[in-house]
Amino acid sequence: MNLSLIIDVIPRLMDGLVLTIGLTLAAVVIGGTLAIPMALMRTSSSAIVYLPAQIYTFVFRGTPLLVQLFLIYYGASQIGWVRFGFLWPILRDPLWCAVIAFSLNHAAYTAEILRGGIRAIPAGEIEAGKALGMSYTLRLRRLVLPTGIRLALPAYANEVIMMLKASSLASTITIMEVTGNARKIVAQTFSPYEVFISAALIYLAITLLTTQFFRLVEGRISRSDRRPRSGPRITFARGRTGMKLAVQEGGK
Amino acid sequence: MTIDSRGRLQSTQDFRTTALRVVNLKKQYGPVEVLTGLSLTAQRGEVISILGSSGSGKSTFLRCLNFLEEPTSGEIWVGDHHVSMARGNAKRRQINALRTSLGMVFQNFNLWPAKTVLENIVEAPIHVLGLSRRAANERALSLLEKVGLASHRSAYPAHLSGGQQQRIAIARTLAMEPEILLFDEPTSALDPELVGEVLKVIRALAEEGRTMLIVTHELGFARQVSHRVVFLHAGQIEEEGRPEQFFRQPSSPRLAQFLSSHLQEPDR
Repeated sequence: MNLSLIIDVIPRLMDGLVLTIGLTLAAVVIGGTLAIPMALMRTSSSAIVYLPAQIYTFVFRGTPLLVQLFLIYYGASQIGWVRFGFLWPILRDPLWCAVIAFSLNHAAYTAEILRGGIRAIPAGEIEAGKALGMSYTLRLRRLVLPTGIRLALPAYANEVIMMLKASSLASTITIMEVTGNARKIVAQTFSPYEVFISAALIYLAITLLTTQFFRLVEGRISRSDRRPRSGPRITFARGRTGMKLAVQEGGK
Repeated sequence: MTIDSRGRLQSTQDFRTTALRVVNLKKQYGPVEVLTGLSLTAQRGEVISILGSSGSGKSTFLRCLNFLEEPTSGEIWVGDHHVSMARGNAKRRQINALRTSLGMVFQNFNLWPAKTVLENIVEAPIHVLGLSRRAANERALSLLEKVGLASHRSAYPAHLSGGQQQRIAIARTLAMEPEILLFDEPTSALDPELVGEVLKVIRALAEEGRTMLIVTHELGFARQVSHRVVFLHAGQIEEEGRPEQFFRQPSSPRLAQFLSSHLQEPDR
């Protein structure tokens, strides 16, 4: 293994970093926006409302992202009217195809995660809003969405990281993001081992930053769950003679 | 309103107007009929306690009044609002208007855990009544003062005891200035030593001359604080009366049995 090659390659791979992050962010923003109405549709009790959303998630979760990407990139150009329609300038650009595929896919997963968050809201909290005369839209805006998002956040952080790594699939349709760049350099240097290790290191670094970011956000919004340190503090200590349970009086 | 030597409320003036009128309220869950035609009228300033064993429909009755459960049929008047189930479903706007004039206090407080005490209280006044933040804050602080928790305004609900949380929930309900207060077993979820502080707040509200419907298992409290006590059985009013007569000479054998099985517990 050539350590210096690993290090040398990193700056060249960084050229693709903008695209990797850009693709992920685009999917998160567009997909996240689509996910909110879809999650709300999924929580409806009326079949006309929840069925379309349910079918959508079924299709996009039930097929591989790579297949979706190929269908949009290669498939769209097979349809005659698309080639002459106003969408053609968009659909012929691989970057846009990737953004569309990733956004639609991310929307399906995020909608499911958000639905889980919304369903986890204790019914009493919503009833309190009803009893105080809050309308449906007001409850949605002030109670259901903020609380649902809060509860869904840990699972959502995971989904964002999955999206980040899935963005490497864009390299299969000629996009030169981190993985695309790596493949190009491999073709030039014939050292796949070192180059892909460099790529992996870059993904690790972004993932680390992403987890830290979400940890920060979670910490901020879960202030309300933590109890202040006013009660007694209980500590366990394991010694040679056995376990010791200590209860200390806590002050404000 | 004055209080006699035994701490019981005595009304010094007649109740002039009707605050609440319920006619033939029915509620069905599938084949099960929980409310089988309940009619009740509350005068302004009247405190009515609703008793009954579990399954008698007392909580369902309160929840039907503000449409947390949709009644199957019946009519409800609250002040100027009139909601009738006779002609199909009631309109959403009608329901929201009805709800702002009925204040509900829940058994499990139902505070919003991610909001501070103050944010819990000002939420509805700002967004439903359209109060300015400043006016809402002022109103909230004076209510916190009233329930004795002004110093806890920035705390989160999880940091408070059950009794404190219920007092905050009462303040939150009062901030909407409802015409009628509905209490759905307000002390049932509390540890015994915390019941007193909540009952004290409710008693103070009764003394202010507010119209209140209280579903409770605290018989001693119901006896002291109410003008009228109602006993529900199988979704109907089995017996009602002034507390003295209600508790001393129940005429229905079911009520007599209910009282004897409950009064064996130490009176609070």
